Amino acid sequence: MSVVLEGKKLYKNFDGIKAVDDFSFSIEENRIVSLIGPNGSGKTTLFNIITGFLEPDGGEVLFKGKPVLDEPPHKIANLGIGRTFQNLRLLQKVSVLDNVLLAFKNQSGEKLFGVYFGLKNRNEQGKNKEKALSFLEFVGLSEKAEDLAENLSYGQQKLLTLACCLAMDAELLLLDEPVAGLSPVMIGKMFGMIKDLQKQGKTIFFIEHNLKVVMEISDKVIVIDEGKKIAEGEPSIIKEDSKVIEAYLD
Amino acid sequence: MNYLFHILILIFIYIIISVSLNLISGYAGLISVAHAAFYGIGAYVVALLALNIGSGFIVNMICGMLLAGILGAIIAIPSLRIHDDYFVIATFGFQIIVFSILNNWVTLTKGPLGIPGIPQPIILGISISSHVQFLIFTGFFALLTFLFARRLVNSPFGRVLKAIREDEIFAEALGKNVTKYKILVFVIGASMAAVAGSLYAWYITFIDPTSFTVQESIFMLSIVIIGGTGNLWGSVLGAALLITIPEALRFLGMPSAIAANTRQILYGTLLVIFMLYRPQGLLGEFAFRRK
Repeated sequence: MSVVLEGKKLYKNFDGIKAVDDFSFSIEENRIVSLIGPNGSGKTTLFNIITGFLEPDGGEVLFKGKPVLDEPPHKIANLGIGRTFQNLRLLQKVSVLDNVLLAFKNQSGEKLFGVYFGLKNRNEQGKNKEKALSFLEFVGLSEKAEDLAENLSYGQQKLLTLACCLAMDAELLLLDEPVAGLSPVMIGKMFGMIKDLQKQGKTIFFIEHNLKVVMEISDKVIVIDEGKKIAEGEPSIIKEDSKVIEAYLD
Repeated sequence: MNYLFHILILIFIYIIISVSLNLISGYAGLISVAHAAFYGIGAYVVALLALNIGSGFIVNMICGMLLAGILGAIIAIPSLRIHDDYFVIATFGFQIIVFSILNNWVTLTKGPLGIPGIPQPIILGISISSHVQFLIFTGFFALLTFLFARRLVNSPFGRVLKAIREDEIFAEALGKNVTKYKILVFVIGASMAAVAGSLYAWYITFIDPTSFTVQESIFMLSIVIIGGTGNLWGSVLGAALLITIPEALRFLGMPSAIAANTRQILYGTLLVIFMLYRPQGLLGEFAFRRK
């Protein structure tokens, strides 16, 4: 099984606080891997490092064997790493459909030349629209396509960000707390989709702080506490790990 | 009749200005108070080239657009690092610098005396000089600018501009090179403003630095805000209204010294009222949205 994403000895300090401390990990292809840990344990910091939004103090991140840390966030995204944000990021005053359309890579109409002289442009936009609608259908938002994103419920907005990741055609999806704040019904729906995405060949790495929630869906669980990796393995093993129990009883 | 044409010509020139500023401030959300500087660069370049070198008007206008575009890129590049209020201050600084150069580099620009006798464009042996001719001439450029901008904002490129305004980090996470787009839109907007400046110089045939002050930049921004940000028709309407309304003051029989100040008060008041009661402007972004 090939490794898609690998982190080696990552460090990040914030004013003397070790947010990420000697953290190494690997994500195998086509797996659902969860990153769990208490609040403030460094989960989102790690995601920000992987996606280039934050520069680590040390260490390396390899995507399909190539180091990515010197690249700016948009280049990392274009390599095939999609992400969602914990505090939902979306274009609020733009339609749901346009949010998804924005996410397509290498659109000829995004280049000035393409806007005025691109012959493929119109054709390509039509195709993208079709695809975008199919992604919206996948997340169950096709009826809301013309609404402004700000008019969606919190759960629907989370689904929309997932649709955006799909339109990016990212191989690896980093989802920051995809189910936090959702109702049990919505959680079931979201997990169903994540499993579908795995079947489609995607690799998923997601953050969650509720230990129980991740057990049923993850192939592998990585546990982080105070910036350090304290456990890694299959959910059944993690459940018995004394360090994990300790971190959660604190 | 000529008076009416005069007003229309000014409206056409200001449509070019407000449409181009709307791209920068309305669509991409980069509030700029340097637009009068780019407008001034366009005007001074055509005036100086025509008087000193005698080159043709099209060449002069393109030179003005190039210079404004290059300077636009130069001030947009620091915006890789600065955001929001700091960006406004950076554009403010640029505006002040350009004004100071126009006002103080006397050997080149003749400073506060201004440049009189700017040659008017000649097309196929016909000199563009009458009001009717200028009406068609400026109208043509206004239409061209509007169509150019409309194509841009309705394209995927325009979608990225809105994304930058709404959430830069989200756009970045989706793989958009935000920095590149910011620089591009600034360059486009700046060179369009230079077109308006050229038209102004040709029409009035006299320019001096007082037409290109920071107050003028703020007036341009008021047109965009009052007309409606993120809507090109809003910029057309805003230009028409804000050019016409002060003209009405003329008919109230106010002495010109008072009328000039009243204009400033009027713009300020309008801006405050709109900010309070209709922040999206007369025609907001979704004015034509079918529901």
